[in-house]
Amino acid sequence: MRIALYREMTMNAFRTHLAFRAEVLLFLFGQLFKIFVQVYIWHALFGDSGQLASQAGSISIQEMITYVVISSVISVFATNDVIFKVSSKVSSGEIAMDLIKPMSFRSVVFCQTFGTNMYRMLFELVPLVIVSLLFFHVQLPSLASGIAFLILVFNGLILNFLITYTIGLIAFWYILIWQINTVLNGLIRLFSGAFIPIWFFSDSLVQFSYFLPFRLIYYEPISVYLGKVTGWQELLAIVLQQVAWIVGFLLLQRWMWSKAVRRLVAQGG
Amino acid sequence: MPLIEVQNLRKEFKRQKRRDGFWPLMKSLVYREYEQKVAVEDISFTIDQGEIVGYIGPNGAGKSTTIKMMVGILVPTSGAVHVNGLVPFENRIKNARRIGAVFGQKSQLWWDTPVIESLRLTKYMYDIPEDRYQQNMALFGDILGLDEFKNVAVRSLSLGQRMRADLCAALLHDPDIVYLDEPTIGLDVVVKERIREFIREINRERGTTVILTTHDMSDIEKLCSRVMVVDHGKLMYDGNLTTLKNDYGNMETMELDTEEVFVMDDALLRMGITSSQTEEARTQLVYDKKNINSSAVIKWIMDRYSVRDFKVKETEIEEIIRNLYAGFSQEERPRQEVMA
Ligand SMILES: Nc1ncnc2c1ncn2[C@@H]1O[C@H](COP(=O)(O)OP(=O)(O)O)[C@@H](O)[C@H]1O
Ligand SMILES: [Mg+2]
Repeated sequence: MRIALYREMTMNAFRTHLAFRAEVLLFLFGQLFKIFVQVYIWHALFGDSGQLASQAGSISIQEMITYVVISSVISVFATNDVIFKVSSKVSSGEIAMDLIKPMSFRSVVFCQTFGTNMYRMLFELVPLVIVSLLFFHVQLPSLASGIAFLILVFNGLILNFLITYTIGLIAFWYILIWQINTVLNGLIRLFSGAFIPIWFFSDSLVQFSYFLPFRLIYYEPISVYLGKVTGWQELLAIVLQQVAWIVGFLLLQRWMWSKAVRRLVAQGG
Repeated sequence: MPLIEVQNLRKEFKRQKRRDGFWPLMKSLVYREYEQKVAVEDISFTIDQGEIVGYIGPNGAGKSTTIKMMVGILVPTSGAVHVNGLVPFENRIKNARRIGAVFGQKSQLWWDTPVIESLRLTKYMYDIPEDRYQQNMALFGDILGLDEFKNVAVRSLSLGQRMRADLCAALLHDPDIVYLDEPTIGLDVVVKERIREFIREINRERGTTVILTTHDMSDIEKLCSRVMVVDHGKLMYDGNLTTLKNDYGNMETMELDTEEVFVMDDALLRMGITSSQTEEARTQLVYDKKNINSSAVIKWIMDRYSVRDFKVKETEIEEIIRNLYAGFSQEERPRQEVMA
């Protein structure tokens, strides 16, 4: 209903990034370096046979390299500064300026994040994909898997935003949110499969990861990309889990926000 | 019905007691002790459409706290605020659409965005029709002189420029009320004058109700027909500026330069001089112009001293307010009697 406002806010974030474009090369270099290191490590682990047994059957080194590249692609979007943004707004008292605007705080943060993502798509994702296709032997998905992958990634990113936003709201109670952020990053890094696919987890870790939402951001979409998940029931199950978590976090952040505002307006920041 | 209604407003803040020393600090980790700070105490007033009200008081008097409760970003401990018939903190977004606010210390603009872009976002935020937006931009831009820095990112603006941009943003959507918390703090005279002119113009052209806090008395003298004085969270005076001056501003100051060193004399006290201050050749005598025969005073002085220079000044508003504060911190603050 307020499309024009959201569009303008998003474009504004996009243009702001455009003005500071200098970091693009640095980012690209960092990402590629990370991919190189991971590919090298996996080569070492896989050994001469180029195959490794896993929970999901035999995995080839080609699949593993593709996994690494796609994981980097997702991380371009999934790495956001929402937690930092929310907590710095709270601790600086700038939040009061958002409260006098006739717009929800969540939309303010979301538009900024979305604008940032648009910028990253053009200036970080595109070069990363081009260079990766040149340097690494990345497998391409079938059309059906590709489409399913895109849907899952999209849901995963929404979920990722909601998780970080909800965690960010903790700043209203507990300003030293950096520790929480560190713990969260550790959890995500491990249980999302961003670095090590859940295929290689021990049984108990696999079990545990199923209780967390993070694998729905990296591991599951990449598995679909690689054609490890094909049955439509399985796909549907993943989508339903994503939707369930999204709904859960939507409710949670709403509840937390009302508590947070009540606390803020009682204390005066 | 008045536009703004404030009844028995009170705000207490709980503050964690700070303790020094090792053991007290350790203890505070285990259980926290709070102390209460009453920032606003039993304040009531109403404000009508089109008024310009100056809310003055020393630092820490409770001005910002009151404004925040009216804006809806702070909940009263007790008492009530109604703006346009709404309770601001319960209807924050609805209230926000009809008001504008500028907090001197903070900006509501987008930090990394050029001023003109930031103002354009405001247009979308408040759904301002394009023609109205253009009209307002033309008028405001002119008075506030926005052209000279409209393409500069907000973060690089000087304090005065930022304040002008913020004022423009707060008024683009033609709010019914605008709250200005210390809009002139730290600004040079030229910018202050520009901002005052803008506030006057908006009030005259649009009938916008203006509530501004300040501790700059010239803001009050140049802008406000009505003044509310607050100290230690209590309302000390609420009425028009002329009455304040008449009731409390009958004091005059006589300034003399004398050849001989001036020595205060009982005779002068009997004639109605209330205080004197001598610094080398310059002497200041303060008196209430209603209870004094000034020609008798002058004659008395002329007879005894050779006077080189002689001036009579009306008491400035600063002085009046200072008297008001001083008077009330001694007695038990008889607020009712002071209310106009
Ligand atoms: N969030 C807060 N927590 C605790 N005390 C506060 C808070 N905000 C203001 N105060 C206290 O309330 C009093 C009034 O503050 P304020 O309204 O900002 O004064 P003014 O704006 O008149 O300078 C001060 O003593 C201040 O320290
Ligand atoms: Mg203040």
